Amino acid sequence: MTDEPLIDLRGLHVRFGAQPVLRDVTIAVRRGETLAVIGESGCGKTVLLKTIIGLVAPQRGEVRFNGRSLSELDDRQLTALRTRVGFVFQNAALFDSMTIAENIAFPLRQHRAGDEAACREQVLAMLGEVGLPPSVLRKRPAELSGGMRKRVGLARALVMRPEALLYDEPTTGLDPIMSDVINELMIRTRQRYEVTSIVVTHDMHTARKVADRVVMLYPLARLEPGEPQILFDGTPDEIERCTDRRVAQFIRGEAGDRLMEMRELQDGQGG
Amino acid sequence: MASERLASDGRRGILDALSDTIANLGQALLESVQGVGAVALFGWRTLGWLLTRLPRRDTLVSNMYAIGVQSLPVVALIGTFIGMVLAVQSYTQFRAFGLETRLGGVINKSMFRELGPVLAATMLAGRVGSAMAAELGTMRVTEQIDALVSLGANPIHYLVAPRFLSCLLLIPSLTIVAVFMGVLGGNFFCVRWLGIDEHHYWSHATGFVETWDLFYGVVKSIFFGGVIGLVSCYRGFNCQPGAEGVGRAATTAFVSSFVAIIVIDLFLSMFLDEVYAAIWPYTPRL
Repeated sequence: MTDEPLIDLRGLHVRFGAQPVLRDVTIAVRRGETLAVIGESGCGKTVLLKTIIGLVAPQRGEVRFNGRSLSELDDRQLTALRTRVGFVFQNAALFDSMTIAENIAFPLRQHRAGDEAACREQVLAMLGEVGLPPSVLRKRPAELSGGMRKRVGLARALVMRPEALLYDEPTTGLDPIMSDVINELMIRTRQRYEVTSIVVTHDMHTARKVADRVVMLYPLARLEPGEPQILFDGTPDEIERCTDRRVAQFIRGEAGDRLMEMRELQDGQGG
Repeated sequence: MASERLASDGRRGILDALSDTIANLGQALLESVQGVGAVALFGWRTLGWLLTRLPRRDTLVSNMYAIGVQSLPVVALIGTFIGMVLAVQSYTQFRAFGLETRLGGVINKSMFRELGPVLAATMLAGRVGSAMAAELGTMRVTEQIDALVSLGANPIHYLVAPRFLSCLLLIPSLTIVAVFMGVLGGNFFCVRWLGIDEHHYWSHATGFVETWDLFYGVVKSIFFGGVIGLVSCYRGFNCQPGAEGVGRAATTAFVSSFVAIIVIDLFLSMFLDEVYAAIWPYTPRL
């Protein structure tokens, strides 16, 4: 791991219409580091990931990858940058109309990286990397379980040998055993390919296991004006000792004041 | 005093309702203009991709198969029945004047110029357009379009260009099939069912229809194909989240395509008649 940030988010502001999602978010992710971004649903974690690869454009602030701002890049340069960043989507986002082999080979064919024989070889190697048998190659995504789909998603993201990997809730919806398989895969991928990773997750077990550093985002609607959106930035050990009530509530999974709010809402609607 | 206040409140109520109606109309008009502009921009970007880099062969072939080959049976069936229905609807009136042998001319002219292109396009907007909108909408909702972008592919080039091109190239061919089957259907019904003399039927039919009529229908169908491809892909691409969003994208794709087909049909008919008059000024127009 080096001190030089590979991904540098500076003062990001993102809003959809009248709805602000990110406010003045600044995070630097060093080369080789694994950062977990935690926070409750709707706090802007996925938007943050999508901003990094230019799927969402910030209204203010900038995203710098390897020292270059995304806003300075033209379409061709942005496409080239995207081949250096792998994105593992929450529900894998595999292409329904293609087989698993075609899904994994898609980036190689899209960027004409090698001939068909080399492409097949790479697909098989990636499949082995994520622990799936070659028998799945001819199947369609709908024929696979959730865990298998996520692993195919990881294989597709890895096939171009990216410098950075962005995981959007990689263990959501999986049983504990499969979640641990995915966690181990993330650790192994990092060691083997020396990738810089950002893992967006609700799962504290995943955050503790795979991350060097944890950042906690909080929904803007619940913050006081002027309060920073990042409630915590530190190591997984430090977050356990964090004294902020909201951070403690999240990592312990306690409903706390939310139950009270829900009851008030129910009473209001009932009465 | 109270009655004056009531009358004043009533007037204000009417004025408020009137201003609300005008505001809503204005809003709807603005949204329509914005919608047309957005589709035009979308079309411009698609055209840009088509001119700079053709779609991949595998995506083009699979789309052509889905749009062209799979639509063939239903288009042929619809064309046949439309030809027969035209015969049924016109026979009584023509027979009253003893002109039943001229039915072929009317049926064929209608099929070539109007019913063939418009009905084939309407049917394809329902079959192909809705399916494209639903497919792209599902891809949007399940983040597959985002995945394409993240993998360095341009979704307009990868998803829209092959669909648009397939519609543009194959809907005219399907229109020709619909017209041909309509001509056969009309002939079958008139000759075999109504007992009209076949020789006279065909001699009038060929006398009425010119190569220009075929050209007329095909030119229209190219525009219809383009508009179906573009509007349906646009609706799918801009689908709202959830199952309801996908359903709405499919429905609005059909409705918008249908409205566009009818509007374009009117203006193209007027334009093509003017072109005909400019080329052959002394030929009487129908």
